[in-house]
Amino acid sequence: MREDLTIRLEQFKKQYAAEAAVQGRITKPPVEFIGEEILDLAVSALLQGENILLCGGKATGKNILADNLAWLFARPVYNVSFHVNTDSSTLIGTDTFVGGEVRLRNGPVAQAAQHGGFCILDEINMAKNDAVVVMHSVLDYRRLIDVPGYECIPMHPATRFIATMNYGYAGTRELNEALVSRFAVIRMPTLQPQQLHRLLQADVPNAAEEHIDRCIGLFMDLNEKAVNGEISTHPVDLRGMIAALRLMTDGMRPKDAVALNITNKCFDEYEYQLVQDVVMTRFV
Amino acid sequence: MSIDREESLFLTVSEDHSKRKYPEYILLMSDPYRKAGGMISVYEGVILGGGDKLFGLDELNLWLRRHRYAAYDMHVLLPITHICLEYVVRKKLADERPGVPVMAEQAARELLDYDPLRLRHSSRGWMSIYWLTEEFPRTANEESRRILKNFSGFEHVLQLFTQLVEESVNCADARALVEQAVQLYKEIFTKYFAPDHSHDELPVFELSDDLWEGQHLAPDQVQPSEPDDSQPELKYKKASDTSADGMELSEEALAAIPEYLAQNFGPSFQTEKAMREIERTVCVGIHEGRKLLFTDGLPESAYKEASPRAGALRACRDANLRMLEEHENSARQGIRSIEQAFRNALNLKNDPEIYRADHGVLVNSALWKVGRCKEPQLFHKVFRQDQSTVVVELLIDASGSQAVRQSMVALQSYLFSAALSGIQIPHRVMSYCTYGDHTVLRRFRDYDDKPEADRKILEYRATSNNRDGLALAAAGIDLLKRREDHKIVIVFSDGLPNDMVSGRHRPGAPEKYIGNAAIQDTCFQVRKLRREGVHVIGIFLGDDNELENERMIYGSSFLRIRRAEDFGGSAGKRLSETLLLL
Repeated sequence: MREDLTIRLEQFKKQYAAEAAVQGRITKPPVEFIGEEILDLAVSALLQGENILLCGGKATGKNILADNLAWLFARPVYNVSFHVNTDSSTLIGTDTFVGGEVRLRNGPVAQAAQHGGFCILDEINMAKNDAVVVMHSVLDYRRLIDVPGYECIPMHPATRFIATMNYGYAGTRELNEALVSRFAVIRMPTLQPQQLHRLLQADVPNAAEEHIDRCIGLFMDLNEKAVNGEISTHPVDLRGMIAALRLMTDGMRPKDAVALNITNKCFDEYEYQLVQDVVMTRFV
Repeated sequence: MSIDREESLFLTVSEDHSKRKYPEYILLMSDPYRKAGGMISVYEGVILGGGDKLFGLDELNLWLRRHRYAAYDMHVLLPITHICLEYVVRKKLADERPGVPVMAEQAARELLDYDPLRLRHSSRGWMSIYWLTEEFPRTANEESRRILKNFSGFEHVLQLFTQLVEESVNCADARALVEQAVQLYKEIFTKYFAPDHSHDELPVFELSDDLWEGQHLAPDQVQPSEPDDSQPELKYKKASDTSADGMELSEEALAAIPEYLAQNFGPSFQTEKAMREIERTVCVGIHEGRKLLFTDGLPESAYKEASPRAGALRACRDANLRMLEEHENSARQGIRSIEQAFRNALNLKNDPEIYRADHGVLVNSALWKVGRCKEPQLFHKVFRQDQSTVVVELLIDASGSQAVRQSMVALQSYLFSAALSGIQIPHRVMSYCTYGDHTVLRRFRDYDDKPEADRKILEYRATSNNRDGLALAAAGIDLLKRREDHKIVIVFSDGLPNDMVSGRHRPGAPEKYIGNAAIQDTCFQVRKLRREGVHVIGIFLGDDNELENERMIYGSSFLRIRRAEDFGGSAGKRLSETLLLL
C-alpha cells in the first residue's frame, strides 16, 4: 500500500478505536486480498468518507476485499446478504417487546451506524430498488437513519458501507441511479494467473506447484469460456478449485478431485460435456 | 452461434475465443477427422486449437495454398501435414495440458478399431496406421498388426518416415511445418507410394478442384426440384448415419419458396425491414443464409375453397377439433390441472408468509399475553414474496415427425393456452417448421389476445422439417422485449431437431442441420435464453428412443405427457414442481 495511505490509515484507527462490545466482530480474514492497485483505490475512497460499490464478475475477490478493508481499518463487520425479499425492516430494524415496552430491534445497518462498523451489502442488486430506498439518507451527506416513531440514529463517523454486485447475473436488477450516485464504484478486474497462484498457495500451503499450475490453467480456461458465453458461470468456481487442490494435496487423483469439485457441479449435460473436455486436456 | 465439443476445445486450446471459420485448406485437412465423431473429432479440436496457437491457422493455410498452386497433390500433402501438426501439438502442449496425449491415444484407438477414415484401404493409409501404432503401441489391434506385415523389407522407409515426422517438432513457424510435410511428401510418398487408384470411385460429375472426397455434386449439377408439401423429414438416427448427405435445393426451387409459403402458410405479419433486422440477429452460424417467415396463417376463406389444398387444411382442423370433442371431459380436467399447477406455483411465490415472532409488526390482539406467557410472540414477521409478473411463450414443433400425433399435439397445446388464458397470464402461441431455406413461425395467438383466440391452435398442422434452435432464437426476440419479470418458454417437441434440406450450396456454407449438429445448436439456444433470464421448459411428445435428446436439450426442465388425462395426475404435479423451481 502507498506510504501516505498507511500513515493516514493508522491515524484513522487511532482516532476511531472500536468499542470493546464489538471487538468480536473484528476478525482477520482467512485470505489476504491480492491486488495492490485496487486496494489503494478502496482505502483512499474510504479514508475520504466515501462508501464503495465493488462491481465485478464471479471470483474477482469482491467479498475478500470487503473483509480485508474492514480488517485494515479495524472496524467491526456487519454483513447483509441481499435477496429479492430484502426490505427496510431487514436493513434498519423492526419492533420488538423488551422490558414491558415495544422497542426498536436494530438491523445490521442501524448497528453499523451506532458502532462505527463497516456494513457489507452483499449482492446489492439482488434486491428490488424500492427496498433499498431507505438506504439513501444513510449513504448521502445526511448520514442518519430516521425510523418513524423513534429517535433519529446518527451515523458514527467511522461507519462505511461496502456494497458488492455482479452485473448481469441471473436474478440481478439494474441499480437505481440515485443509489449508484451515493457510491464510489470500483470495477474489480479478473484475477490474473500470478494473483491466482499467490491465492492458491496461501490457501493450500502444502500444494504441489504442478497441481497449482494445472488448477490455474483450468480456472482460466473455464473463465474465458464463461466470459465468451460458451458456458455459464457455474463451473467458474474458485472455492471449488481450492477444495479440489486440497483434495489433491491430500492424495486424491487430480482428475477425481476436479470432478468432485468442478465438473460434477454442472448438472446440465451439455455444459458438463464441454467442461469435462477442458478438464481432460489439463488433467491425466 | 452454437458450439460443439470440437469447436469448444478449439477455442479453449487456441486461447482465442472469437468465433471464426477454419481457412479452406485447414477445413479440407481436418474435415474427415471432424466428421468421424467420438474422441477423434473432439481431439481434432485440440489439434486445430494447438495449431492456431503455435503457428496460426491462417499462416498454415497460406503455405498450403502456395503448394497447391505449385501443383502439389493436396490429397497427399494434407494428410501428411495433419500427421506433422498433430505430433507437434501433442508434444508442445503436453507440459501445459498433460491430458492431451491421453486424448490422442483414445482417438488413435478409435481410428484403428473402427477405421472411419478407411486407412486400411490404401497403402498411404497404412503409413498412418504404422505411425499410430508406433506412437501408441497399446492401441495396435489384430487388423493393424496384419497390415503392418506388408511393410516387411521396408524398415528403412519407416525409419525415415518416423525421423522426418519427429523432426517437425523443431519447426518454428507455419512455413517450416509445411516444408517439413513437403519433405515427407517428396522423400516418402512420391518416392515409395505411387498413387493408388484401385479403390477410387470415379465421380459422375466434374468435381470442384479441392474436394477431399468425391462425394459432393458440383452446384450446377444439382437437379432442380419443385417444392413438395409432403417433404419428408428423416429420423435422427438416419440423419446421423447419413450426415454427409442432405438435400440441396436449386436456385429455381429456392426462388419459388416465398410464393409457395405465402399460399400455403399465409403472408408475413412483419414488415420487410423488421424481418431483415431479425434475420440479421438470429440467422447466424449454422443458420447462416436461412430466412424466416412470421405469419398469422391463412384467412378463413382459404378453408372454404374447393381446392385440394383447402380440403387438406379442413381435414387437419377437423381432425384436431374431433380430438378435442372426443376428449372434452379430460380436456376440461386438463385445463383445470394446468391452471392449478400455474396458480400453485405463482401463489406460493406471491403470497406473503406471515408467522409469529418476537419482533416485526405488533399484533394488538396478542397483547393480553404480556406478563402471562413466557414467550408471548407479540409480533407478526411478514416475509413478502416476489410480487412478479409472468409471460409465457408456447412453441409447438410442427414438423413432419409430429404428423402421427398431430391432433394430440394440437390438443395439448390448446390445453396449455386455455389454462393460461383462464388465469390471465399473457402468452403467445406459435408453431414452427422449416420449409426449404425458410423457417415458418405460425402465430396462433399473440400475448394479449382474448381467450377466444386459443381455439386457433386447432388449425395446427405438421409438415416438413424443423430447426428448433432457429425457432427458439427468433421467438426469444419478442419475448425478451416484454416487461414481465418472469419469462417462460414452453416448447412442445419430439427432441428431434432436423432439417435435411440445405439452402444454396457454396464453399464455406454452414454445417447441415441434422444429427448432433442440430441437437448441439438447440442445446445452445436453450442455454442462451436461460442466460438471459428466460426459463425454458420442454414438453416431450416423442418416442422413448428420443428421450435422451430431450434430456440433453432441456436438462431437468422437461415433462413427458402422453395423454391429455395425464395432467390430472402426475404430469400436473410435475408441472407445478417444475414451475416452482423457476
